[in-house]
Amino acid sequence: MTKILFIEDELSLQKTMTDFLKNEKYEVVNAYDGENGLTIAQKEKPDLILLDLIIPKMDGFSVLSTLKSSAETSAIPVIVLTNLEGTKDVEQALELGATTYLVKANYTLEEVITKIKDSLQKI
Amino acid sequence: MGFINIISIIAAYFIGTKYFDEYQIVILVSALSMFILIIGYLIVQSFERIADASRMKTDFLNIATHQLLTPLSSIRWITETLLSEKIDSSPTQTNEYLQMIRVSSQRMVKLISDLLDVNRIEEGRIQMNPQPVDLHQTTDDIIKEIMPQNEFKEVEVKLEHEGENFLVFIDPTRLRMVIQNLIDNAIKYSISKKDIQIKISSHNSLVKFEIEDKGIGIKKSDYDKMFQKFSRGRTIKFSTTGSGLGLFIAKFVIEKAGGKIGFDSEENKGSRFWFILPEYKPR
Repeated sequence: MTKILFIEDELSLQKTMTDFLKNEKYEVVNAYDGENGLTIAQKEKPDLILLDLIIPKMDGFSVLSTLKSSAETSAIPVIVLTNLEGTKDVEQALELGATTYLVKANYTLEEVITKIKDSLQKI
Repeated sequence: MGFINIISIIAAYFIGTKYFDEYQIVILVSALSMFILIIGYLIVQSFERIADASRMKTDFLNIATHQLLTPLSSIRWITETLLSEKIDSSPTQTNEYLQMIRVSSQRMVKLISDLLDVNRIEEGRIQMNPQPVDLHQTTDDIIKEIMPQNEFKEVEVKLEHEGENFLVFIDPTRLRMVIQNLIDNAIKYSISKKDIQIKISSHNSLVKFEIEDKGIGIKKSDYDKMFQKFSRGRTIKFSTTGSGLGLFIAKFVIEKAGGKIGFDSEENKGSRFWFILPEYKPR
């Protein structure tokens, strides 16, 4: 089963996305802060990571940078899922190696799932 | 600026040679050079302050937008889930989702309310209704109200008091907001949520409120920003809720009531926020 790691501190967003992903038959692992997310990514080697940027303990940019600089995790596609809309944030995330940058407020859950499927197909 | 300085020195020298002796020329040129350097420094400082203010405003707008979009996204995704034919929600789950919608909408109301308060403070339009208020009783009531809430499940707040009269003269609603904000911050920035201590003391006609956490502390470079609006103060890495307006509003409320607010902190060890208000003595 395809495993997705969802790093997001907002409980309601975690729960709704997880429900939708499980309905699509994905295995979902949740992390509520950056440090824990990184540890799980290194340990479980998910097939894809959904990553928020404003998260406790270690922000998403730092998590992304660490993931992409490690041989163990650099190949895992990362979809940034955030409400930061600034051009600089988008540029920074893509430069650090994010596959896609999605602003949560602009996407329904179904649309995010479509993006996830697209990313997984490209691997 | 350097170019202007050189031209001025040369001009001063040639003009000076017509009217002054060598010694006087040296003093004239030195004084002029110093004057131009000081003016240049002040101009650069002003521009840096303007740039800083602009940066903080942009930073705040980004944060405020993010903070409003987050609960909005929650509400949007929750309603999509509840309306989806794909997800089968039990009554318990539906209730849980509806609670989440309630919390998200409360967050949005709070943020917008804070934004309006800041605007009113800056325009001198904020209405305050000061009355005698028991600081200890108010704090105790707030702790009893918030502790049963789910988000505070693992939190332990110890309240101590020392002294007899804890009456202060202040707008009770605003005081509650100040105390709530300080408690929220202490919990948010704590590493262990079981180490929040509040002490209220009365001494020398002053009533003091102190709240201490053993949390991430505050960087020295952030000290002077803590009570400014648009400032998050503590590193954004650890700050995922809040608008950066709470302490700005708190400072205004306390100072309006004739008090003082401040903090002590050590990075990675914790912080102690306090405020002092004049004791109210009933006639």
